[in-house]
Amino acid sequence: MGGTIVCDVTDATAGKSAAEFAAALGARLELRLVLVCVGSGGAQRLAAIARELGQDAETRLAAGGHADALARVAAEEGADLLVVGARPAGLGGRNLRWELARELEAATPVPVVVAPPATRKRGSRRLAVR
Amino acid sequence: MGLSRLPLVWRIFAINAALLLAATLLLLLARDRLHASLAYVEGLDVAIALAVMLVANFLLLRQTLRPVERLAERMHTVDLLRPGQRLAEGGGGMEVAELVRVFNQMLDRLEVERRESGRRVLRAQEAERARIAGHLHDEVGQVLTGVLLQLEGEARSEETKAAVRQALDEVRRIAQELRPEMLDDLGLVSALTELSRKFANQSGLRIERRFADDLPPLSEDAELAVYRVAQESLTNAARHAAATRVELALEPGPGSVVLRVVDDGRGMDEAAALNGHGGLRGMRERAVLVGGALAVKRAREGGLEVRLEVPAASP
Repeated sequence: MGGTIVCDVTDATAGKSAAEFAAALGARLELRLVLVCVGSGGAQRLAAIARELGQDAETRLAAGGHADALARVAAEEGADLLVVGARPAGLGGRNLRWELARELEAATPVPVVVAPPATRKRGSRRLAVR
Repeated sequence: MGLSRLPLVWRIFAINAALLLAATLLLLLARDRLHASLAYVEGLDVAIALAVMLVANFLLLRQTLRPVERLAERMHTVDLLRPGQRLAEGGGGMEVAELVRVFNQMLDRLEVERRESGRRVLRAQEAERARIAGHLHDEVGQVLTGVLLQLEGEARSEETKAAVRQALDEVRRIAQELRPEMLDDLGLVSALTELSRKFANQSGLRIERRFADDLPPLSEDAELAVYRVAQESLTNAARHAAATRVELALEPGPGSVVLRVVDDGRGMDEAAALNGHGGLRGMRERAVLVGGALAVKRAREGGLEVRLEVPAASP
């Protein structure tokens, strides 16, 4: 095992594609994967996504502000990478992604990756996501 | 000189003055073009100009002062037990950037001082524990052993002898808990094996040990942190979680050692685990002081999982 990826699945749409990306990256690099949902009522989503991924993902529920809670979990899990999702193109989605990424930059020293939405067309040399 | 290099008060004044001037000029220009019978339109013009001015003023001021708000938010939420929280130094004016830079430097200093003072406190605490354990073992233990020897010849002293033996065992147990000599003498794996064996005997917990063979070496402080976190986790599992089975594991990580203590008890609220109270806070403090990471979370099959990752000793 070579390290830990913490992946945010708080947003239902963006979280799913982020989890798929993080799982593919984790499998390729042999990293431990921890899925995080911030806020109450995320237990079922966490369990469903972990089940869909069909691999050894750990799950965490966290409380508090979105960025701060993610930063706390990343620190506690000794994360090497934090993956957050992006919604499909649209002003609201972009604002959300930008705000979260900016807040995470201040809240954690862990590098942050914004996973593209599953609907976005990517090149043939992309990371394979099932 | 750009506007952003002006002092904050002058910048706000300049923005407001520029807006007022622009609004007045627009108003004057509009008056010349209006017929007297349309005077009421002037009122509408003024109101619209004022609204535009206020909105523009608000947006500009909000953008200018946003970094100060972020700074205030960070001041409220910063936690020295979770180091590394910093603000981006770009944006805002000269003073705001300077304020953020100084705040980040202050956090650097506080984290270093906190780490150093915490390390000193823990070392003093461990030294004091070792001293008390030594006294218990060497003095109280010797006295009790002497009493036991004196009682050997007495025919009617079986109950007294049993009580003295029990007291002697208790003194040895307390001394062992205060200072795990096996950690110094035989290393972490042996100390954790002994700890879990004794804990299982005393508490009735079923403890499964899984210690990897290829663990990288740890510093003395890191070994002690792992031992104390395991000790605290086992105590919590027995006393508060109503657990019947505990898994105690040591695994190699990427340049690190990972301790996992997983019980099958009733678990705990993750929010409480994140905030950390009492024993949890102590464990988190020990983890931070050796550059480690501590997670307390719901285990996959219910119960609680404590995961501590500490960096391996540099070669």
